[in-house]
Amino acid sequence: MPGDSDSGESDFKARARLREKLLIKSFSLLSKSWLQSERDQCVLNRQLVRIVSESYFKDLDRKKKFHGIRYADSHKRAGYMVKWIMRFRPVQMMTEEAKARVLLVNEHFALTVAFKFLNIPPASVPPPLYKNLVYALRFRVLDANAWALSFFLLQSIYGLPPQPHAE
Amino acid sequence: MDTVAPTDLPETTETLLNWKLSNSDVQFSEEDFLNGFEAHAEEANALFDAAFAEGL
Repeated sequence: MPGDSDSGESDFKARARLREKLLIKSFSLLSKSWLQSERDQCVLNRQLVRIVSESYFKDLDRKKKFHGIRYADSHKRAGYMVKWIMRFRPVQMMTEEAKARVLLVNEHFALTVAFKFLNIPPASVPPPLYKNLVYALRFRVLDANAWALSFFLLQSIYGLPPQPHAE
Repeated sequence: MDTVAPTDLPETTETLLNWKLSNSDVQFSEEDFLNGFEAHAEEANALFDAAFAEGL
């Protein structure tokens, strides 16, 4: 029915806009404690953030529909979000003399968001492991489901137990 | 040639078609996500610094 389709589209847009705002806020908080010189070297491109957000929902909704899933698990959310952040690289460099954090800013941003989805405190992750994760995002083939599996394992090891939800 | 009617397929076929390992009953909450994000971000930045202390 046309009404259902319109309703679905409207719901999709609403969810995508909320996630877009969340990504913008998250990046703002992530870069808040950086040196001013680091903040000046990159900018979050809002056009790309919108594409990331909408692509994430289109992609994940397709999987949820196929498997009859109501809500995606946190490791799937993390895997699919990382995939689309890395595909479109919404943080853009403004310099040709970037510091390491800026050169790898999209990987760092993607993993920080993923760890929050997974309820993994970054302080619990060994630095050499983190370096490997950044390296894999930078140089290896991206597959959302493979990352979801990796995140499932990381969550099993480093994730905090879920908090009980109030009714 | 012998054929097998779809209705004769074992129940496991249907089970496999509908197989899913997990199905979260928790809806994502933007509020929960952003709650404590600033401290989370500071930890993430410290982790990056520790990981790349000796360079790339």
